[in-house]
Amino acid sequence: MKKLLFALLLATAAAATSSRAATYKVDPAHSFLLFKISHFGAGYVWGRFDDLGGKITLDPSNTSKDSVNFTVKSASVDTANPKRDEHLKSPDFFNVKQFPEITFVSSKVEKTGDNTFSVTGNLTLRGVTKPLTVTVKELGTGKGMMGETRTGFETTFTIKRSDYGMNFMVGPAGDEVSLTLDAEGVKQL
Amino acid sequence: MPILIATLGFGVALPALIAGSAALLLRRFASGAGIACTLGFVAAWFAIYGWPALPPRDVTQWLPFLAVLAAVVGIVESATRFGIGLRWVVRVVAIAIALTTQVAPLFQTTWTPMTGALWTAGFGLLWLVGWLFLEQLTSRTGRSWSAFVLMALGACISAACGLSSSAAIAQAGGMLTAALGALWIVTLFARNFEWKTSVLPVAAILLPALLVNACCYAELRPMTTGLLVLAPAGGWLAAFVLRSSHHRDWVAATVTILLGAGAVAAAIATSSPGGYE
Repeated sequence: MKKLLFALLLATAAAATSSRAATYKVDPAHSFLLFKISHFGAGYVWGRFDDLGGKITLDPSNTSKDSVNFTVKSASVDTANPKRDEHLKSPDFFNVKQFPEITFVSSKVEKTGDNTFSVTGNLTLRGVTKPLTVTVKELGTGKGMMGETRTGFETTFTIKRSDYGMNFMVGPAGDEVSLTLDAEGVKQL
Repeated sequence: MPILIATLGFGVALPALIAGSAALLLRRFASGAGIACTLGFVAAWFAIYGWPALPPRDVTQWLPFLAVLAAVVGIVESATRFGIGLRWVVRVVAIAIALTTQVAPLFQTTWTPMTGALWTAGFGLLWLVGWLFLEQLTSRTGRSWSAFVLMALGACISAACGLSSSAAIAQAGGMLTAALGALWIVTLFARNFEWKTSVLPVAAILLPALLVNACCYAELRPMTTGLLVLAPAGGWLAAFVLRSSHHRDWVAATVTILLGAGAVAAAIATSSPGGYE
């Protein structure tokens, strides 16, 4: 009887270990959220957010249990022009004092290829939450300087800023914003 | 249509046209001028931004609702025989509502309860004192001069909001200035046009609301905010000193405008250079 119980415990532990989800903390120093927006239809203004963080949970045995959440400090918007950055932080655009964070929380992750996923979730910008589905490419996994496991993902998607109440100067400055997120996560022990 | 022309058309010509026309149509009603001014502002807002949801998600979108609130206060002041005490109770309530709409989100995102209480008390007191001086100034100067002062003050506040990095708040200031400007023109031609009682609440609520918004959510400095709200105090003082002089009106107007313009000039001088288009 004792042997049977021990065997059952061992089997349960082994099963739990093999299906244990790994959590990766987004490394802000090696993660980038870039955007570009049409300017007078003549060119693009490029920018980035310097302060972002988040968590990626990956379950190798069951992708449906994977999850992603990201938080971006909207005041960290940076277009390499301080005056323009001030304007972007104002109520005309991000209104960073009232809406200091932009968040994405996944609700469904599906594996669509060898290294691609379809991630559906809710994007909250300026207090407006809307569903968003993006295609994410897994870039690879490697070991860091301290032996830590790092994994990287990349996605490019487009949103309409007017959907989120950012209506100022739609036309001269494009309504569609193209975003690229390049995130590197460090596996948490 | 070039953007600049569209901006001037919807942001300046439209509110001026609507406020001026409505003021002429409603000039026999005690509350007509305040309603006209609000109509001009709200119509321009609607033309540029569309009508916001109630309650608005974004603090700036409270401004057209505050314009309606101000018109209601104007109607109350011009259509009732409230004593001075009751009038101030209505004003304090209106300021409290307007201030709450502007600062409430900061209690969740930026301020500690203590910091928020101090800022709110400071803004509230400034708003109240600003209204008092604005009323004193307009009651001691002739109707065209005082209408001109309100318009000029609106222009200074709009310019200051423009410096704060929010073009939308500056544009809202421009809409209000245009509506006030139309009323000033009507005072020059319509002799029986009684405007002060109903327009004063519109100016006394919306002008500080623009400044508080720019101070809290854009980069307008508290010092500039304070100087602009208190600029009418200088004009009131000048009008008080020269109360029996026939130079009183233009001196009081000039002092107020110079103080307002001085606050803007100081903000320009101390702002960081550079820009973009």
